[in-house]
Amino acid sequence: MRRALAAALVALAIAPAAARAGGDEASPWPDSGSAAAQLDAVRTVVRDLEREVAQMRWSATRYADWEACLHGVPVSEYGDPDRQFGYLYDERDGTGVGRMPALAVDHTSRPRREDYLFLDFARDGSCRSNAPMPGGTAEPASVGRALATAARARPNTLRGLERRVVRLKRAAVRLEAASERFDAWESCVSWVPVTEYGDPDGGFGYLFWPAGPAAQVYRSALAVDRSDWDDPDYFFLAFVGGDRPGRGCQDEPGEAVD
Amino acid sequence: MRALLTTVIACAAVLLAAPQAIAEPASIPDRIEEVQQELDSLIEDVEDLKEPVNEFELFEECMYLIGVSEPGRGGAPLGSGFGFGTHGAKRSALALDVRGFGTPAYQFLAFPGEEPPSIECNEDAGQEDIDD
Repeated sequence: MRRALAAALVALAIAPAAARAGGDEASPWPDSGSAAAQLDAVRTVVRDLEREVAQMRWSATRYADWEACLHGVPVSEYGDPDRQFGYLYDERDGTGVGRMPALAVDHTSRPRREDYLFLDFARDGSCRSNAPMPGGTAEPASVGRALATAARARPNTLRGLERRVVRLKRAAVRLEAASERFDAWESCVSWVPVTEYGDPDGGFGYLFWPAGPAAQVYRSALAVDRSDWDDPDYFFLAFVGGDRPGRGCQDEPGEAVD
Repeated sequence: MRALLTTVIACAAVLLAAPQAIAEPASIPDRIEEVQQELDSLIEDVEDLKEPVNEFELFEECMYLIGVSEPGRGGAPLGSGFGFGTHGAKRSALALDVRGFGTPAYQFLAFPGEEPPSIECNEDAGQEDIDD
């Protein structure tokens, strides 16, 4: 009984402190303290926010860079998915030459009348170094370190902190605009399931005639993958059916097309 | 004379009122409190920005450039091309161009077929793209 009472008293003694800590946990500002203590807290928060915003700005800049390197290539599917007509295709399994659809650059349709607008990444100029980096990069971390070094040199007076807050607010507005632009772009992009059909080594596949008098060979080509039993080789990113960012899109964000 | 007197009175009134119209500079604690309020709002804004910015980072980490060319472009009688239709026509088609030593005509944006971007495709962070 005495032990239970002691435990209850200990709990009562701890409770206010715990409640206080829990209640103000979300606020970075001291409950009380001198102006110097409050200013210290402001410095810490400004420095942390600057680091976070710098990393986000790095990502936003990368998006802006590679967005400028993208251009659309009109692509359509030629041939019948039911294989009644289309490209000549031979599995060389004794069934003979049949028909297969395939994808080709659409040189004839009017703009926005093509089946898909595939997204080609330019290789010239600065685009070579702006290419996407599968697997990510360690750059944001180095950005954070560089900023931390720079932040140490920034004015920590109240006036200086006020100016840094104004700059942070401007940066946040710009970041929001960039994220909205990416969202509009991403919401409009569809994933087209594409597989390479035919043997890349020429054992079977689409019938191809090289230039000149050379004999017909077998080549592989790309077609929309409508099979239910296996994954496609890739999902190509495309605007489908005349969709364009900012002008209304027919499909749900990131929808696969089949 | 009356006009001069009126002007003098008006000027005096302005001069007397002016010191009261100018706001007193905020005290240090007030300024700190104002900065803290602005930072509270900024903390929320930055928190809200994390998700959309992360979406782009994930998108970029999961995306590949796939080299593609267009063999058979040009349908002249003796030109190259894939057989199409029933009358011996030839036409071009898109084909992967990731194995040769030449430069593919296009670098299309793509995701790997078995790994849509909603899955953790960035778990191999740091690996280089070997498809192109």
